[in-house]
Amino acid sequence: MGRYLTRRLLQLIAQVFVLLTLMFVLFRLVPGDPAALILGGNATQEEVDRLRAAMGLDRPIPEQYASYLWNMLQGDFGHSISYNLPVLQVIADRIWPTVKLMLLSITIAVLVGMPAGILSGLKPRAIGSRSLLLLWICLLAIPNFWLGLLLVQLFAVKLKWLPAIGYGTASAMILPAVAIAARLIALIARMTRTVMMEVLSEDFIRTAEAKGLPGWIIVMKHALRPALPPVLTMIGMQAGYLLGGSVVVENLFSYPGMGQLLLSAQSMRDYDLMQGITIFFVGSFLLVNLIVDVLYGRIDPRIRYD
Amino acid sequence: MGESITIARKRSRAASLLRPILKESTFAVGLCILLVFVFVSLFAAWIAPQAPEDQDLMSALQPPSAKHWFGTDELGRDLFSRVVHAARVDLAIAIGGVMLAYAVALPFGLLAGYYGGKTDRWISSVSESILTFPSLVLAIVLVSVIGTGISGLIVTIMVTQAPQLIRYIRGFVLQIRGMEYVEAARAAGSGTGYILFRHILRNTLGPTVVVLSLLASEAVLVAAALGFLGLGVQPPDPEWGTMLSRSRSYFTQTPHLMIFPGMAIALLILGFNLVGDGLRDMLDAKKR
Repeated sequence: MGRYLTRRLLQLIAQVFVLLTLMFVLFRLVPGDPAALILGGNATQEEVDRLRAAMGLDRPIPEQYASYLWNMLQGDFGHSISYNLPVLQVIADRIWPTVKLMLLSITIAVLVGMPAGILSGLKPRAIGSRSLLLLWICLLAIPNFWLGLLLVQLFAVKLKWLPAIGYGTASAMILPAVAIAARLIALIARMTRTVMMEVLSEDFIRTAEAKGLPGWIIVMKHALRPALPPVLTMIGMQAGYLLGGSVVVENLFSYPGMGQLLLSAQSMRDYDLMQGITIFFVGSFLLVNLIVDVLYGRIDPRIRYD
Repeated sequence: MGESITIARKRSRAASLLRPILKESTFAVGLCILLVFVFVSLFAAWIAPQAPEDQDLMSALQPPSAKHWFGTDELGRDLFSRVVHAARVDLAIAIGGVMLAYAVALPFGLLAGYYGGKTDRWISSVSESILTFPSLVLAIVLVSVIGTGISGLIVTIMVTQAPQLIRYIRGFVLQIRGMEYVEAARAAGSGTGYILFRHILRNTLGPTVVVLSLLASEAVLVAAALGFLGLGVQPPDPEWGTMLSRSRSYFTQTPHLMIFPGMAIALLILGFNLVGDGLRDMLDAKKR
């Protein structure tokens, strides 16, 4: 396990390095001179040159790259021109709302998806199970922002049960979290159902039945466990989708998280800030997958890390 | 299950080609949906009663009626005409982006899978690092570098999807490379190029179509999401995501503005998903 973790961490460092390089290249591809962009149309050539020198843009590319990497490693993600603050400081306030939203979405997805999958796996041929399958197919086709609009229309405009926008109260988080979670609910439910159907025909289930264990204990103790690793994998695989979904859904619900920040940075052409936010998103993606891999071995002792 | 397939195989060739398609209702339904969208976008000018840009401010924000099937938007434009014309735009972006991604990914995937070793390590590590970007986040960054509009979106989708395709194609090639017929071809003295195209490329096509179909559904989603964020196709050109975004200002009075474009997005995604899933089931059944 220890050796596996070190290898995974080394791999993570390599990935972060490649990522930073890609970001460097990507943001140097931006058309136009960043210095001229910051100063606007009225600046003289002299002023632009002075800013270019101050920003280090007049130095050769390899030198810029080296100092860029060095700053990143020291935790200096640059300066946000739209907030006139260090990028890290701007990001710090916005991380927690997005993390909270992600955690709530994943929790909802597991709490709804797994029971639904178990129930439909127990009686796969029942009409209820079949209509659930149809529902999952539809949920996978509905984009999260449209679902969000429909939810707002129903629960905020028509029924007036939940607020349509806002942040701070628990009730304001429900609709955005559900909009993000919908796809994951469908995927987890389908996955759990398949695993359930396979597991229920195994010998150890028959043994448990023969021992006279009640049905729900068999499901909870013996049948559920094999369903967990695939569900975890699913969460890891969908992490990118969830994070991307948060951008649109945060925009829809005016939710003050990283996604909204990315959009405002984009509209202000604040490239340092965009870069910092992108690193946050990719970092979260890598982290989620690392956690999933580590949890994997805890749940399924058959998995060996070597 | 196994028996019925063997029986079906013994029948005539035409029947055995058609039967699995008809038997696989998932695929059939998906294909019908896609054909409807293709038909609508090819004949958009004839199907739509008005030009998508025709304004009539006197009849703005009307609910669906016999004259305006889907109602009208805030500038009095016929929503049905706009949804129909947008099918063209969204379908072109999805298919264009995915085909371009395939064209870029194919050589890399083939090389990585066939040669392995250092070539594979280089190609895979670059494409895997691009895959760590949540695709929508990467798309937002790319769009601000490349620019919005249809061609910007196509390039953006190409960049976000090519790495996924490289990963898949590489996997397919790895499987096929070890097959006996490839070994036989090599033993018979066929050149690498011949083996790659004649034996390997041809056999990756089946599973690749499945992947392409699922990626096209993702492309529709990304294009519409970018449109929704105001980073996609720019008004007055009709696009479903952009239309949904505009509907937000009016949705307390006029829910129809968000119902129809959203439904169009969901249906097109559904079509691509069903075709992909159905084809995969068919290929799996054939393998067994």
